[in-house]
Amino acid sequence: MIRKILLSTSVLILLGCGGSTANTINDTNEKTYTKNASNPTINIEDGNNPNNPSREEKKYSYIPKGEALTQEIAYKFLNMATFGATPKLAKELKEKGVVAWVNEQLNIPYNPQTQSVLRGTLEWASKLRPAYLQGNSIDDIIATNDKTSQKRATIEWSHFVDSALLNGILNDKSQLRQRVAYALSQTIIASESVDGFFRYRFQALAYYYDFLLEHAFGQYNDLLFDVTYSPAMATFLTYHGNRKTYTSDKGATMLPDENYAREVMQLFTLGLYQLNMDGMQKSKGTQFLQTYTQNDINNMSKVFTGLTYPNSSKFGVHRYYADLIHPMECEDDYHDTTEKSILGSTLPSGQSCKEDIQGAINILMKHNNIAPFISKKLIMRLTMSNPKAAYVERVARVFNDNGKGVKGDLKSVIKAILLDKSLWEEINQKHGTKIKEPYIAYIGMLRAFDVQASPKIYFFYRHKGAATTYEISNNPLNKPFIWQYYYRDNSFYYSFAQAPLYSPTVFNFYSDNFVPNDNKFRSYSFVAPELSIQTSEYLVRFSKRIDDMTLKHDKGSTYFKNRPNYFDIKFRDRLVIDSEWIYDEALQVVGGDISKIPTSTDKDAMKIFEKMTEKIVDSISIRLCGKKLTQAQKKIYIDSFAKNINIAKNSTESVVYTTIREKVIRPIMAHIIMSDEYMVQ
Amino acid sequence: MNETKRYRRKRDFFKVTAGTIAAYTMPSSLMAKDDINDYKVLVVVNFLAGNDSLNMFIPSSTKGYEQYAGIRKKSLVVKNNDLTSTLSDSAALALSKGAGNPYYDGKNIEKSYIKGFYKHTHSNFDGNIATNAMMPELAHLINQGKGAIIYNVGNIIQKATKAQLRAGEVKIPTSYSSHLDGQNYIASGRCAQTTFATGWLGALADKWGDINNSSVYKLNINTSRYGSQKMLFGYQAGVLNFPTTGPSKLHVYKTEEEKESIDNTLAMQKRDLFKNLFNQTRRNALKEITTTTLDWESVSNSNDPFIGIQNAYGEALFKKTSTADLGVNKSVYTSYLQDFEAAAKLIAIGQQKGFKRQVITITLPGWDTHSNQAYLHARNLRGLSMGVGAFQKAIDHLGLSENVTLFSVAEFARTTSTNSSGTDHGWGGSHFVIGGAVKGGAYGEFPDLEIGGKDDISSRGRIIPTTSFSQYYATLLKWFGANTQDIEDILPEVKHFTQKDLGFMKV
Repeated sequence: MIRKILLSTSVLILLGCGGSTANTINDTNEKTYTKNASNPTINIEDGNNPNNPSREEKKYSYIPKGEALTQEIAYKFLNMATFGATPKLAKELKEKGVVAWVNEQLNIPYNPQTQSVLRGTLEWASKLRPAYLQGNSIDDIIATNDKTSQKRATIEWSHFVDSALLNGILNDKSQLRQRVAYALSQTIIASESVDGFFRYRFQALAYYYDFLLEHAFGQYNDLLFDVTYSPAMATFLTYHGNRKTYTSDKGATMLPDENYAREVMQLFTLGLYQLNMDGMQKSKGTQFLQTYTQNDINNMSKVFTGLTYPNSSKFGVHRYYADLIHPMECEDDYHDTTEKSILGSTLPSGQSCKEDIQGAINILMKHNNIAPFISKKLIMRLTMSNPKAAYVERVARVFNDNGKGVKGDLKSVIKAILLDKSLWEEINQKHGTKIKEPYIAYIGMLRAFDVQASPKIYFFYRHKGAATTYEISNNPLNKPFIWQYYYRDNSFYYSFAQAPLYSPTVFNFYSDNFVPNDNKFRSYSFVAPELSIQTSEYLVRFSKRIDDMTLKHDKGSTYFKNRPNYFDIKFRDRLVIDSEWIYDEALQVVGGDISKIPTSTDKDAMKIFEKMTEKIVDSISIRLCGKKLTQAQKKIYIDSFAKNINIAKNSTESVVYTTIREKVIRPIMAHIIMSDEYMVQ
Repeated sequence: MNETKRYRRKRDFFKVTAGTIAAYTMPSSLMAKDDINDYKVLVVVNFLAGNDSLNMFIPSSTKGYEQYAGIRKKSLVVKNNDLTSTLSDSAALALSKGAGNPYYDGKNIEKSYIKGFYKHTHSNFDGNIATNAMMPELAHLINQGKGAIIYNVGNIIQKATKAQLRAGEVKIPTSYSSHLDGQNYIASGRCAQTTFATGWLGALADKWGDINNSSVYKLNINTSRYGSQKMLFGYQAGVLNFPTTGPSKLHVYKTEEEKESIDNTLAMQKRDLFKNLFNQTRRNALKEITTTTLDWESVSNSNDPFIGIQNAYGEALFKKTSTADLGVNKSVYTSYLQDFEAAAKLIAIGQQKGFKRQVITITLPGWDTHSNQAYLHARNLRGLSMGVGAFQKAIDHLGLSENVTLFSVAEFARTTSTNSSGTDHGWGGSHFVIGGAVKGGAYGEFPDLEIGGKDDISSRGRIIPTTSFSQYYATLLKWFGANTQDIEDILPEVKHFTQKDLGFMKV
């Protein structure tokens, strides 16, 4: 077995260093990429084919079925494909089988009525701040002209967006789409981090995020197209009002902004260095080969000239007065129409802004780097930090051609990522493949413990120092609602150093090249990007968050039980989990009868306490990790906490509950959430 | 972004049994500098959002003052009133309370702001620069030869005339007057491109590796929640985020049995690579917090090393002097004192532990004085001066005068012209360097302030810098012990300047 691995890796080395042509893929350069108005479901050659299940079954024979698909394996897989496994989801996966489940998820179409973050945002506004809609209907605002952002710039938009986005992440049945959209938001990045501008106009980012959701199973070129035309990206990477070279009133020569030209190549499509299909960098001696030159950037920067915010007669209208939720418009008077030479291709002179942008996307799409570059990024966000070269290559080939000659079909790419044999080799051996993103770990915990919106929500509004708390008697949309009181201190970002739409820079929350300070990782050059943001300060913040959640926002906690309407102003979201059942399960050890819990601490009593504690550990770990912990692991918790079930004679049920809940269940819950068993995916 | 060069090391391909090869990122050097044996500390003071340095350091030559006074709106013109004689000449500055303050003007802080200045009479000064009356502690330090003023520092790629910049012969850094880009420029020490990869001090930490004996303090410490830690970001080197109020309360170990349970869980050996890594990282993080918490206790409360030392008002060194004692009618940014106190205590810890090098960033908010500058800037300058004064006393008390250097940065200075009640985003401006290793004096070229004149890139008084941050940083790095090669690697744009050492540090 080992010999075999060595052989295959050494073959890869030869290919990687020698630049073997045997490795190159079918050239799809002739294809042009136009945005599909309505992207019809692309048939996956061997997926989603009810007429031919046997063929798929054969192809994916390494994926366990039936009994072999254990709870632990189901959890492992679901943690890669969703925002967190739950018992219900695991049951569904086992009933349907992995391949059918993936096919089903991939075939759920995007439904803007229920899934659009922008729509959700406007719904929140219409409910809580109807005046912000200026008397316009939500449909009208979405269809025609933004009547909101330029009229009402307020931090509340960020609350509405956060709330709408979180609702999808927590509750959407289309979990795979949600997870892929989040992965894409870390690939083609626009975020609130510019300079505070989006903080008050967050709906711009909702509009952008909707494209990630819409195209999660669509065409990568459509995604590039729509994001390029999104005001959020145009603002984030500063190509709004970008003009062809001109001479200013003061006589200065003003060149087009290069920001987007550079990043669209470096980060969103190609990367800095030329890659083989397996994601390895090509090199000449010790030098890596650059993907593009400054000259390519100069020419590319001319492409993104002439774009201006929509629904304004003035070119280069200031962003403060801009419509941020409709596509950017092209004004050809300001577009550079000279011939552009980019990456060895030419965009002829005289083309319009729209034609040039389409042409540039075509050039990027046909570049050999895009398949390995994007495939590897998506693998790293979804399944594993250190994919085998062959895994990357298999996925990249699907990116290049989905079997129907289409390049950039994300539906096929996602399927290839999730069903790859080298991934399932790791899953079957129950190897850890990546550190969970802290945000995903937290969301997963909420989902595992049946998170719901708090029955009461309070609307906290702060403007120029004055804070008012509005109570809304019933949660109007039955959606969780988050608020924040300090700008750029989004409560999730504060606790986890990450949250959707809050990347601190265009380079994402972490570098994909982060090699942790660990001998094994260093010697293999293995990366663990998600670990780089889990510093000591964030460990404290994360644990504080878990502590708050299990103490105050858990239906099972005595604190919560005693204060059903209490509003803790320091705690910033309105989410409630439910772990009350853990107590009930623990009580099964004594037949559900609290009078059978010993009130002494002798040996026999301790045995019962130990059994109850073991049951508690099992309940929690099965819910969070889909498995029981080893005896050695359980022993640690039993040794530390069993003795805490120390109950005085004739205690009331509430005293018994509080003792077991606070001194045993709560700490064990927090510790398992923060342990390697849960935090490693 | 220039990523670190990654070389594939073939032999490692054969070691792999699980998972596989990812991109190779080997740090340029994992070895500590072993030729460094003394203790030195750099303290960065970042004026977040751009300081109006023209009202901090006022031109005081006849011609310079005339030009300055002619440009600005009257309520923002510091009067030509030399208050130097009100500062005591002795080593320790003593200020009277309330009306006894040199800047006192009927308690009115806006009037105090423009009451006058302290001319610098130290032999290294030419008499052409003065410090705002709100800053007696800083002025006193400069007069004692412990401070340098560097004129017209800013984000430039190379030195150029207005004509060269206008003609595009020399590139102007993109958005040189935007907060974000400016912060990225001063953090990376380069401004030829807007994208941010590593901070200049992070790059130094990458080079020096494990210089402080595997301490949890690493090389770089950030004390601010405002974000200047970017300066400290390296590819490999970590940053210790240390809140000025002390380490965050540990929420992990709440009881003894919880500590036992967590420690035992983390100590379990796992065969899984990622689980082991996770546990090791967690153990280190817990060690970091427990260590820093204990260390912080060793310099807090009754263990405070600065007990008995007094500030200029004769009170406890870092005490927040009351508004009444300060002789003003509105609150002053005395909360800055906490940042300086934390820095001084971290240095005391470093000294106890025998560290070799430390970098500490302090970020002070509140400098974006577009309006209401007469109050806001006055409030900042007073807080800053008290902070710097107390900090230097603390360092002197530790016997580290020659070992610690504090210097200021800001993403830009402000326009020399004024709007209705404030100043807008400018470009070049003056900065100061304080410490026993500083060669007191004024450095660099003072610009022509004329609006639309030869040194104004705009028509608002955005002054073209004549000294770059890369030169400024290079001078500090040289003192800190970086060799020429290190400096060139860390600050690639310094090669565009003939003067790579501005000379304000003693050799």
